[in-house]
Amino acid sequence: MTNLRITIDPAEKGQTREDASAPHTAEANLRQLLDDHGWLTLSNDGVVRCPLLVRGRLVDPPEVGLDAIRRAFAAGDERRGSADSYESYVAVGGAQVLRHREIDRETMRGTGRWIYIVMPSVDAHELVETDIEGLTNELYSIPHQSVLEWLSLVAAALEGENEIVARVRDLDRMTSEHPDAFGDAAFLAFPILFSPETATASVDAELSRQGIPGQRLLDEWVEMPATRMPGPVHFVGADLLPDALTRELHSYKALVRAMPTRQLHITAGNSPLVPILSLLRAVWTKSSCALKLPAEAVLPGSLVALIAATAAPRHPITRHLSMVYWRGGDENVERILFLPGAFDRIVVWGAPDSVASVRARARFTKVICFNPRYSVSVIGHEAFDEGEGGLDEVAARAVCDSMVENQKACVASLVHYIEGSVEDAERYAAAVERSLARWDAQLPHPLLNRHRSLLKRIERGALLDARVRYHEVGGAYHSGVVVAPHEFAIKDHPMCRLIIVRPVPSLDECLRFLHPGVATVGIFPDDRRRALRDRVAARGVSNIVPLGHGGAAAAGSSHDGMLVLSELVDWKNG
Amino acid sequence: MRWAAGSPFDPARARQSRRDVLRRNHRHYRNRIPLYRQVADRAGVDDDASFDALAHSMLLPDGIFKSYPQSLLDERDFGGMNRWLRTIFHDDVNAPVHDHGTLDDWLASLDDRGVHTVYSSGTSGNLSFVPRDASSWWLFREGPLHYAPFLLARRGVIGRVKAPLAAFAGRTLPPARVMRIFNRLGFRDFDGIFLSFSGGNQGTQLVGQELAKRVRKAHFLYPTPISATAIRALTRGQASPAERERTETFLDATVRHKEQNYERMICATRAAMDDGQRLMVFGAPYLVKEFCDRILAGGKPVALPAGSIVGYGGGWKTFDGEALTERELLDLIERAVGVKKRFVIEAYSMTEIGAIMMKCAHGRFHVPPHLETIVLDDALEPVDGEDVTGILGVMDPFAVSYPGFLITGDNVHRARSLCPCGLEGETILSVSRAQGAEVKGCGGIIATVDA
Repeated sequence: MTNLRITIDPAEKGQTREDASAPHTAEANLRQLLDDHGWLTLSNDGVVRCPLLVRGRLVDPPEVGLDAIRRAFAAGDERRGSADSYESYVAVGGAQVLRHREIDRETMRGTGRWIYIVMPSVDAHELVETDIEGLTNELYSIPHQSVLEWLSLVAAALEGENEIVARVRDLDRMTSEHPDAFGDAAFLAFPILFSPETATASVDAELSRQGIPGQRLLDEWVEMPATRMPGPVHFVGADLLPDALTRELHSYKALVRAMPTRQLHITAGNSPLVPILSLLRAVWTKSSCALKLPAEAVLPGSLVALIAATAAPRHPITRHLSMVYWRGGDENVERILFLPGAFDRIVVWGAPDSVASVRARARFTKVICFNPRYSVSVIGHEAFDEGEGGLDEVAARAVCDSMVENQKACVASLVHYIEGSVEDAERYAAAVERSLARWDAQLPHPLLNRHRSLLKRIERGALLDARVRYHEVGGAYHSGVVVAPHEFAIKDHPMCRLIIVRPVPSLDECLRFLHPGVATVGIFPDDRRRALRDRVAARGVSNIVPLGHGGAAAAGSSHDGMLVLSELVDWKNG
Repeated sequence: MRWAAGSPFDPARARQSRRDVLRRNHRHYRNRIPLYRQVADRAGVDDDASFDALAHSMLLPDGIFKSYPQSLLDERDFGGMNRWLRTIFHDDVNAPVHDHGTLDDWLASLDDRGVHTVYSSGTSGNLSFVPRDASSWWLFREGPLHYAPFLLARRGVIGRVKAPLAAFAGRTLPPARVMRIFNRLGFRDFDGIFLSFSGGNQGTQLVGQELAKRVRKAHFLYPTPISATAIRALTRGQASPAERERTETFLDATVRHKEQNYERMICATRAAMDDGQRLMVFGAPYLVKEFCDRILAGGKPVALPAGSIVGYGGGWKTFDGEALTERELLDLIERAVGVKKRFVIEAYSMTEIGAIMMKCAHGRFHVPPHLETIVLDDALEPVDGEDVTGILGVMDPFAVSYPGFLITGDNVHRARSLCPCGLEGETILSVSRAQGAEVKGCGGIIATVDA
């Protein structure tokens, strides 16, 4: 049987095969594509077929039988020591297959069933844009308004196809280790993220210069208020310069443009929003984008790719967009993508090892990294004053900061420093416990085995001296607060709704625990925050916010010390 | 010794003996080691707890050996370190604290007072300290020599004549007499090429130091004691002039003269060959790789005399470059020094236990019968069975001066079926690092910070 690579160009209302003799189908809309190809549907065998998007063309995974998939995984499992983690990826029959455990949503334990996600293989050459003329004329030249139109089309399609969105969300839930509410929140956030208002606010906030809005700088060459100065060569050779040049030098106006770029985004899976945010940054900057989906977010990523390809098939953004998956470290793919000149920007989310690996192999390309970080809360003794809702309100704010992405996000608070004695810390911890119990009741959080393991380790080791309060339901851990009088290693924190409370004699004492690895510090009360702000910021912390605001975001805010859009564009002088 | 020499072995009896000792150790720990007492009280485990209760509730994370606040070492508060050490040691720790400029000084002072503290370094620069009293120290250093040579004999390392004699001696003679014979005759026809430090109480360095006492001539890649001060300072920064000085000395002895050191070792290898000596090359895998790479780069591979051995252990933890698969490393060794796979010995152990598990010709690490292994699932619950996979827990009867009931950081596949090599007892078929903290907790700056 010939293994054909089927690509579908929704703009051409049909599909093409490598043997051109195949007939075209009827007009392709989203539902029809899903039905015709069985995409994003769970078969009885536990197989989900996911197309990928390669420069605007949907690529259908080849047909691969369940037996072949199982044999491939069995062969992989045989090669691994039986003490190693299960094999999660194979390449078989021209396809890539991810394997995830189905998780019972009540117990958060495996059901014993595997879910297989079948995707086409990736030809890295197809992801690299080499037609610079085409990019300049087709994509880089579109006005900001055209970006907003694309976003509106995609947002409208996401809203209109809510049945399909719900189907993908349900599929994603089957294997997601996030509690349902947090996974659902990511899908609910799509309309906000894709809104034109968010795009314009972000572009204008991050790219504006000298009173000129960012969208204008993206669209055109803009005259800067300053005039250019002659350089040393013009003084040294003053007698030798043509008169016309001498006149020009003093009258020429400096022009600046924020030029779009060719971007490669390698995204992480700790939140399904990460790949979407990375995608949007490329879109907002009118840039071509090849985006590597994380293994945990292939389904929502494939959905967005399908929506883009069917809602706006002819739009330049879609035609220069790829959303794909390959196994991290695959030299056949990355060797091509990391070549000098393949991309102008590479964005990497992930562990320092991954980041270091990319930097080492893409030495001549600008690499923008988002490293793992964590966050903390700092609470002054004023929390014990009776006014303004008292201790319970303060605890509720701090717990809110801890609960960002169920304590998985870089901005989620892992440690609460409370100004006071150990007894004060105990009082505060009791308030935190009450607040966590309310979260547990509203948003149940069963525990994964690896969290149970980490909790046992720290109970018997790092936090042995600590007073531990667990909120248990039916004998099962749901959340916990620990008053820890001593330091402990942050790497031991299980990030499973466990809050470490550390008493400190003064808030100044917290400063020695702050460093560039801390993303956000939420501080109460606000006058103490303002007083400490510069000293906290000087230690590398990116966000110094009022307590409770850790999970909030504003368009145009910096991210890990960067105005990211400004890093993604290439600033030009013309 | 009897087991390694091939005497009949009753696993059930060995298990019962072990567990009796372990239950006695539990009572000792509970009464003499403060940290252990705290865990036991919290878990509701009393002196008469059953073995199953101990396996379920009293395995401690190996992180207890680095549970001190890093600020104690940052501020050179060795009085505080003494107090911390006492929480995991079964006796008072009275090392004087004045005039200690460095961590090395503190460790030397402990040594002088009979608290022999072995340390190991993690990637974060947070050192673990395992304190042993005099008898535990002797057991730690000498104990494996009571069975490891016999395991080597089974691999054919000792020779066709010596091997059966050794096995006979091991099965019939009193152990003390066997050890005297071994110390006089065992490895004297070897010269040692030890890709390690000649002194210092750090993990795998001690293996080379013990072997060095028993070969004809010993050559160390770094003929100087390893410095805990320097190891820590290189990762965490150097605060004091004394620390800077130690670090500079360390760097001079190591990375700044790396090529000269390797050249010296290669010359020593050739000289030993000229003398007709067999060679014993030992080091961490990445150092064995570097040694072989330099021999090949010199364009003159050596062919070590028949019966020479290459040994390694300790994993790739300290190497930043490319790690090889076992097959690739074996191939490299054979190309560089002519030693075939049969005479390449890998061992698996850890600083916190007094046992070495050597890999046999059939690729299994053999667990000496005095060591109790517990395999844990990913919720840290014990899993029993003849063939199980999970996180390795160990209960070491020889660990008397510190808690010897530990959860390691390794995933293993343990089997109780008879190994094809014929040696009875438990075996470990594969080892990998256990899934630990979330990704964000494992790497970069987060691996090094306290909160």
